[in-house]
Amino acid sequence: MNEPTTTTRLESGRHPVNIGHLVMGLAFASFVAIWALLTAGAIQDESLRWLMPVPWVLAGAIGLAAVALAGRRRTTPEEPHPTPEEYR
Amino acid sequence: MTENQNDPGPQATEDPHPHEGPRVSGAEMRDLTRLRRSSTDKRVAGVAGGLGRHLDIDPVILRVAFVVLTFFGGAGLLLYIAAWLLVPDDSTGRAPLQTDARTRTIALVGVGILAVLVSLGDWGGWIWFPWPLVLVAVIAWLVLSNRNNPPAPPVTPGGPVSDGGGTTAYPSADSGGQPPTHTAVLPPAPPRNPRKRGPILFWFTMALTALALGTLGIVDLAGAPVADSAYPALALGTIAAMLLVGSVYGRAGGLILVGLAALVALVGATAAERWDTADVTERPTVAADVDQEYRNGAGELVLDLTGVRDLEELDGRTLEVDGGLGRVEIIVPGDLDVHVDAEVGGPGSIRLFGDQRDGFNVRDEARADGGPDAPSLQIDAFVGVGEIEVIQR
Repeated sequence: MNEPTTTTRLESGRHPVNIGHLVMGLAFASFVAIWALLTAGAIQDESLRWLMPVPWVLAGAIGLAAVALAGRRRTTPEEPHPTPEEYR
Repeated sequence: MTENQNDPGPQATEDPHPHEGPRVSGAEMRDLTRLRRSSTDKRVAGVAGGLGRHLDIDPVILRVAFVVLTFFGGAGLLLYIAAWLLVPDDSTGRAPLQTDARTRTIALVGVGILAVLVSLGDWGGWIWFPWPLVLVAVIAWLVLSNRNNPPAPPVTPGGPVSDGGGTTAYPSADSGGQPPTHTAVLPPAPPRNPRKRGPILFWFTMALTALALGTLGIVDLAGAPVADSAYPALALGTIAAMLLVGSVYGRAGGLILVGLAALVALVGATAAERWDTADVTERPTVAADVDQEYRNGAGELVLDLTGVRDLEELDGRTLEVDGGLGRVEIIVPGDLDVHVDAEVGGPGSIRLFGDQRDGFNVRDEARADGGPDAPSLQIDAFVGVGEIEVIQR
């Protein structure tokens, strides 16, 4: 049996986009960005009222776009799927 | 379980109390994969009948519970619809939303937690977390994941799939690789979820977060200006980065929950930093000194109107009191007609003239009668998180 190389091990961990993790990761990152802007004084406290929904809207929109893109890729005929043997 | 109920065995004929005693173990109750909707004992979709069989209690109790819980923010309806959509029927083995057993269990537990939150308070206004969006997202996720799953084959009547004797067509560990003597009717194992490949990222992320926080702590102790809120912000940023990595590589399960906890900590730390607590007491003695609006960022705000000598000058006026985070106490004299509209945006309590309400996004109104020809005052009180109390003296 061949020893898996680092590249093949890294490749084996790649998978189709997990939308839930993508959306929540983006939302959390956006909240950190808002915190950084607030702490740096780039935005005022009053702006928080309308900035609070922005991370959810941004993450949701990108998540929906990712779903749509993944759906398009799935319906587009491309190279044949690997056989179960190839997965192993 | 099912076999025992259908076939009590020879000893049952001698049992003087055939309908007493536990017939379902705790482990079986906790195993939600065994839950099936009843096709025989049903009023609407067989949810209560199936759940009653699963928990070994009278379905009538559960039907009443569903109806009662419906009046608590719709929790009963939410639970019933979720069970209807997710739990398979015992005759066909199919559910309107076909999911694998693990997904179904997670979804049912999630809906249960959501129902508890819903029944605790008015979910629509609970802080700024978009609960309705979460519900829609969960349903959409189930529908989308359902499209990728092949439909489950029908199950032979007589009980859940897992009751098939416990043996499978796969070689067991103690059989030395030899095939078993018989095969069960279990369907083949579903293909592995392609999104669950690669290393588990949870513990790596925990270690990375600990390392990052420790480094920030050293920088902080070295004298660099580090805000308290930088700690949860750094943790949240690390988790966010690993979630983004995990969306295409490895398995990031569990990180969302930790991220939500870090987000709550970040909001709390930032709020504590930016709004220093201040206790304010206002005791105006004439109506002209009573402001139209009182505001406090955080802390306690006490407004005592009992010292106002010319109460008639307050007639027809409206006071707005905003306490931010903390407590608002308003003391009104007994010879004043007072109408109070109070609201706590987040978790907290309202106590108006002795009548108390607690919960999330609490609203209440009350009126105090000051007697005939008494001047009338309107008070609109609000706090984000905390307590509002109005007392008449």
